[in-house]
Amino acid sequence: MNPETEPVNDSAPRRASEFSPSFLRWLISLTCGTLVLFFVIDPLYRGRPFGEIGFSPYPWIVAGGQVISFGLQEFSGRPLEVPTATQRYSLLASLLVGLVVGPTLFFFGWRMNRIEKESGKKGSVFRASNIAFLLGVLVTFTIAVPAIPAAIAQRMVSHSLRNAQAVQRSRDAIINDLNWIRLFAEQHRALPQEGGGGGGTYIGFQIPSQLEANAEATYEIVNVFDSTVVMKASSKRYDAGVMVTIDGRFARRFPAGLRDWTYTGQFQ
Amino acid sequence: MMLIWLVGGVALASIAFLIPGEQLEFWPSINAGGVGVAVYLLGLVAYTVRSPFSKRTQIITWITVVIIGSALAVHWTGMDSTTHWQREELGKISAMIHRGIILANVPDSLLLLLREYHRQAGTKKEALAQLFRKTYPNAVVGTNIHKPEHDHDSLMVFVTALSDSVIELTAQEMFVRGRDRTFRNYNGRTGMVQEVFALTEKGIRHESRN
Repeated sequence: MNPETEPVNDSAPRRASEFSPSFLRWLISLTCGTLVLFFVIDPLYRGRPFGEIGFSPYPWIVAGGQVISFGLQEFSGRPLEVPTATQRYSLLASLLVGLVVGPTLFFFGWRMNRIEKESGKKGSVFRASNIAFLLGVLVTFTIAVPAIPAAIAQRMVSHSLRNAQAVQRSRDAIINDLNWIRLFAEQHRALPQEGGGGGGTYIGFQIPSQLEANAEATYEIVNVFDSTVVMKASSKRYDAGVMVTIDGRFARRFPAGLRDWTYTGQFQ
Repeated sequence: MMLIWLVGGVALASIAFLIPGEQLEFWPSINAGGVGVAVYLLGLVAYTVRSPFSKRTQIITWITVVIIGSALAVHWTGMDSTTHWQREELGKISAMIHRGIILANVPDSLLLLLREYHRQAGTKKEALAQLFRKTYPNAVVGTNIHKPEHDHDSLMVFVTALSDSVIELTAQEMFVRGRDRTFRNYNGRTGMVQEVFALTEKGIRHESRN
């Protein structure tokens, strides 16, 4: 019995597998080819050789890039760039080519090949079903092969980014709070003793009760001298802290600045 | 048959993509298009991967499609949430930096004034407003007293009260978003960072308005 001429019959006891050694060889070669193509197309895409028109195998990365770009534009105080119709339709074209046309060619090409094989037809290598299948594999595998590593990497990067950013933001918030305390210390120094101030010194300065603690940290004064105050912040969220000195030793420099910043633990 | 499926898939994904209309971000369109694509692909796989393919091939194909599809969905939604989070973070960092700049600039001029006021000898002291006008002779309520230090310096410091007993300065940014996007700023903009400092002879009072 020749499996190539065997009529289509689901109940046949033995059937040629689609995952034959020759199929697997094709699969591996095409996967390698796709990866090479991916690394060639990607730099081309990033270089935007066609101006506004850009094709990406991952249109959702383009959409993500646009959001980051908006964030940077807001950060630098520039108005947001409204996307053009060309950019919008390029994105639609990428979506259609990568996720509609490619898989359609792949699955129909595969099916047609299989049916031709089952019916015993032996056509040219350049027959429609083969070309459709190869094009489909090329496009589909460009998206499918890196999908799992990309998803894992994306989750890991996102997680580490969020952690790092949370620590950085907590540190920045504490620095801001210490600057506020400096303001009150300078006010104490500027006010006369009869008005509850230090009359030119920091002696008697205490952190205002509303600034002693918040969600980020607790704040305390380590030392108060005539012309310097040493402050310490202990983070509530992390095993970390900040120590800083208000340096009012130079009368010409009023209000005094903060110096000798020391970061401990995760703030280092 | 393949052509019909192609036309149908392109039509379904395009219609879904265009449903949200023209928006500033690509995400609403691409997410809607993605849903259309997912529906189409499930139908496509169900139609093409059947007899004469063996049951084993069908099962392996479906498992592969589900795994790859899930990975793409994870990557897709992860990209959506992460980039929006990053944009929010950039906004918060920007607001924090600009609040720091306001804190480092605006109250210091008031502290100098406070010290000068209390350093005056004798019983007849110059009022706070008189001392303020020595530095800003033309300042009246509504004047912006901040001189930009560079091209991207969008800080504005308005005199919002000027009397013998109180000087109030309202510092606001032109492009940096504050906590409330609907907040109406002093100069008519909405949603920008705004901090208010009021100086009396007893000290500085601060209010973070947005």
